[in-house]
Amino acid sequence: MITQPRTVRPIAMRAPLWLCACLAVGCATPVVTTAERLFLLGDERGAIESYAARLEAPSKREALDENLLATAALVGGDLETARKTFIDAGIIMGSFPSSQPGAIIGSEGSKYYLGDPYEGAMNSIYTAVVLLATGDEQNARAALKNGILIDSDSKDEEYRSDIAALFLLEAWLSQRSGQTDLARQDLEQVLVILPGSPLADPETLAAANTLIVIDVGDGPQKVRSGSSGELALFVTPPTEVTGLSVEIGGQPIQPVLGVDVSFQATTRGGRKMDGILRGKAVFKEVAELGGAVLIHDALRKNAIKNDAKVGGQLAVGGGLLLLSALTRAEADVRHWHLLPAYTYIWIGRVEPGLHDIDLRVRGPGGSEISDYHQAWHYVPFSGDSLNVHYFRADPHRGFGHAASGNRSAAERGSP
Amino acid sequence: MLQRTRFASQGSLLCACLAALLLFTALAPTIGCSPLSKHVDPDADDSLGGTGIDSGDVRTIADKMVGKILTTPEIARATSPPTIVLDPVRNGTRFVIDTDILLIKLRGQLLENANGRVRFLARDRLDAIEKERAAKRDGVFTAAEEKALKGADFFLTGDLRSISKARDSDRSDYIIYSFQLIDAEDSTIVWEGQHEVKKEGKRGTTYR
Repeated sequence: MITQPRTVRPIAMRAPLWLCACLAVGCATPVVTTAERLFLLGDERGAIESYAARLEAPSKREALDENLLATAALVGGDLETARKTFIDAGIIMGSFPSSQPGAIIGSEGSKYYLGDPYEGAMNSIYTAVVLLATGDEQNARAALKNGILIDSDSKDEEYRSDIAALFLLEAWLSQRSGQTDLARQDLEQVLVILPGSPLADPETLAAANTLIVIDVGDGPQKVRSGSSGELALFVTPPTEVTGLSVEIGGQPIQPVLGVDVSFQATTRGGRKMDGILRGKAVFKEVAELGGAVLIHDALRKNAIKNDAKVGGQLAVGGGLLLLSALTRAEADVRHWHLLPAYTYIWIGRVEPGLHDIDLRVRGPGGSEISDYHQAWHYVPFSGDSLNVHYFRADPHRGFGHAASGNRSAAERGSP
Repeated sequence: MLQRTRFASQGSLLCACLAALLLFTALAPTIGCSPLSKHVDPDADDSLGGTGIDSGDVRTIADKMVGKILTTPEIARATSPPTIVLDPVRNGTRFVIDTDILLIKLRGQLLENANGRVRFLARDRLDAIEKERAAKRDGVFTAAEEKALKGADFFLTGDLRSISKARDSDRSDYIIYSFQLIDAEDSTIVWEGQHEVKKEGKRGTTYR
């Protein structure tokens, strides 16, 4: 069994690209907390404990912290923690908290974090992956259905989800449960998103016993911009990644691009959004303008004719001005900053036994980006149940692996 | 006259500011400062909202199904209490749920109301039961009498299906909860009961 201790690099060398990207565009630099620092250092256990401690205090960003904790747990191979916290986060993200005055006029911390659609879809994908890894296929399928709904818009069929991973995984599970018509419909959608995908084949899915999920790179970062921080912009960290080369037991497999997370963050149904979210700034401006107009009009009426009835108008105008003054217009930039740039998926058949897994990331021209290379030895593949293997490939934070079944038998080898 | 008007305006403005301040003060309690946890009525909608399966749904379903199951001729007219095994409910909705909660609630309420007219077999505890039986047979533990493990007369199971729609962050979910009592010998569905729920959830502009 070949093993090699992790090489610990200084934190400065591990700084993710999104930090550099944020600095480059001159936006407010995101705060790197203890939990994030531990995650970047590859100490997932420490990160989990730090996020868990943060969750002990009641907060309106509970769903976000749960997603962050679950990410660390998934990368660290703690499937049970990941399963529980991804599900909990998904429940909050799918809830309908009543609008509160505090949320309208207060800071971002005064309203519940419910996430953008791309974050909801990623929560659904990870929930499905950990449920599959823990043997709950029905609820995994439920999570995928939820993800498709989050990424769709049914009125006038304006948007149809364009996340291949959701349809591919649902097709596989439909095929496994004998619902071949549903599987066929899902595969049709996979082929719309990924024309010519080799995985969009009912026979391949019917024979499959293994799911490989590989997250690569740093995902989109939402940052404040504008004169008073009223604009929210997505910054896509630069990446050279163009594809993957993966071998299981010396046999090459072809993972497909399941999610381009930055693309999903900045589009709906493939259509580019403005990229600018103005949020409460609009309310603040309207309230200020409305208040000023009402007061000006009331004073003018009073000057012309001493009218006691203008008091009400003045009260409303004054109230609006006060609300405007109290409103903090900074955009809400809370986001799931530990998401990857890309999620690759492979579904297929692997003969039971112990196999090596070799994972290489390709850059421009197909050349290998050596920082990403991972080699895992003696990875167990079961013949009785589904094999689910999750990998995280980040050059700045090392590597991660979570798997169904007996993970302890797998060891990372020398690249 | 002009001076009086200015005073009137300034007074009104002051009143307006005070009114707005009072309004804000009145709204303040809704912004926060509520107890962290409290007991709530399980039949009531919770403050989180959501269009999924709630405690109230589980309780309503159990109330509705139990009476119907007990009046099914195969149960009501049975000469000896029929034995029932729970078979997991299939989840075809978009909600990640522990479907066992539905059957456990149904089983509990059936046993409470049946007065011995039905029996449930603990198939989910078979490992522990077999271990205990083996220990008894080996003389490790005492045994009053040896019995054969019982077979089931019926399976109690179910299906959840849904139609879900989305518009921005708004959601609509129609869910059919369907339960069946299936003859474990010849596969006949001797009873089926359904419960339908449609829920709609809208997020205010604050959460867009």
